[in-house]
Amino acid sequence: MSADAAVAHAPGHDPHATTTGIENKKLIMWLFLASDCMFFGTLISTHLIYRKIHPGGPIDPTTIFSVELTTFSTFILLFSSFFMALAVSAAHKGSMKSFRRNLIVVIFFGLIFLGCQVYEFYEFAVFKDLTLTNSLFGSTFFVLTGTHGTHVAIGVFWLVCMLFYSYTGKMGHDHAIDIETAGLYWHFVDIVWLIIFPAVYLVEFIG
Amino acid sequence: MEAAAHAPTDHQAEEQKKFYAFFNLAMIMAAITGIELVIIFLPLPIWFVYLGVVLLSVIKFFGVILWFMHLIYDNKLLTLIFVSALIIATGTVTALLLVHHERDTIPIGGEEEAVQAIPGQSAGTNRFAV
Repeated sequence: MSADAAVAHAPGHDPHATTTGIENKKLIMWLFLASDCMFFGTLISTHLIYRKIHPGGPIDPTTIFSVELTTFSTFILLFSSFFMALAVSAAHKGSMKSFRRNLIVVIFFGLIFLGCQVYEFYEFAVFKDLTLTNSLFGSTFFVLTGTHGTHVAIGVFWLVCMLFYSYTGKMGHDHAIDIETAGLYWHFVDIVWLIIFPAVYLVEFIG
Repeated sequence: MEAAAHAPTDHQAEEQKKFYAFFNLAMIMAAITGIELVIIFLPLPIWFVYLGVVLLSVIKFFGVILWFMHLIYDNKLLTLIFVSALIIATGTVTALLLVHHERDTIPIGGEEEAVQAIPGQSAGTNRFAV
């Protein structure tokens, strides 16, 4: 047995000990979220810069956007974050039943949000003549909200995989960090929408 | 024996406390979202509306990060990482909005049409893109 292996297997030695004192999975997720922050920052600023340029003719977003639907989506995502926090807390306690219950609610709310997004995109493209390619406003809008929607979809897929894994009996207290990492991603997706909602939708109704 | 009997009760009390903390935070943020929605339709000065919406969004943003994402309880290195990225992102957004004027996006040869399409725009005007 090598010296390193001897130390790793020594009694009382924590195999997850890191030089920073933070779990590696958590650290890498925060680093990813930090980079994603900058990514969404550029997309939001691009939309804000181009939103008033209409080379093909004026577009009035107040006649296109549905504040009611978007507000409903915002509340849905906000409360999904609440249930995600409860799910992470349950996972840390080792309470599988509570974890699964809260996770199912998060997945359900995430799917409702995605459904609202799909409905909105369909309405805009088919009935309001706002598409990805026919206007500058449409391009920036769909790239920004589409990217966010993709993030939500990936989050929902991740949570569904986690839910299925929890039924295999292999998920235990050791996996709490994995659930916490997924929780961080989901909360980040929520806060990005909390910025997009006023910066993209509400700003059109001001003045 | 008494200590063991109190332990589950203390644990339950702590869990209830956590639940109510998360619930209260969610309710506060829902209320803030409602306020944001209302103030944009009120007959208030535009600068006040913009300021109000930005401030309320920032409060919600940090509410989720600090409590739902547990940043306030975690290692300070994580705070440093995220806040650094936030400063870079905010600085980039601000710089882009200040530097890239609407007129800068007018295609070559399309000045007349584009100027007509921008409401209230005239030659020599220098205002923020937002």
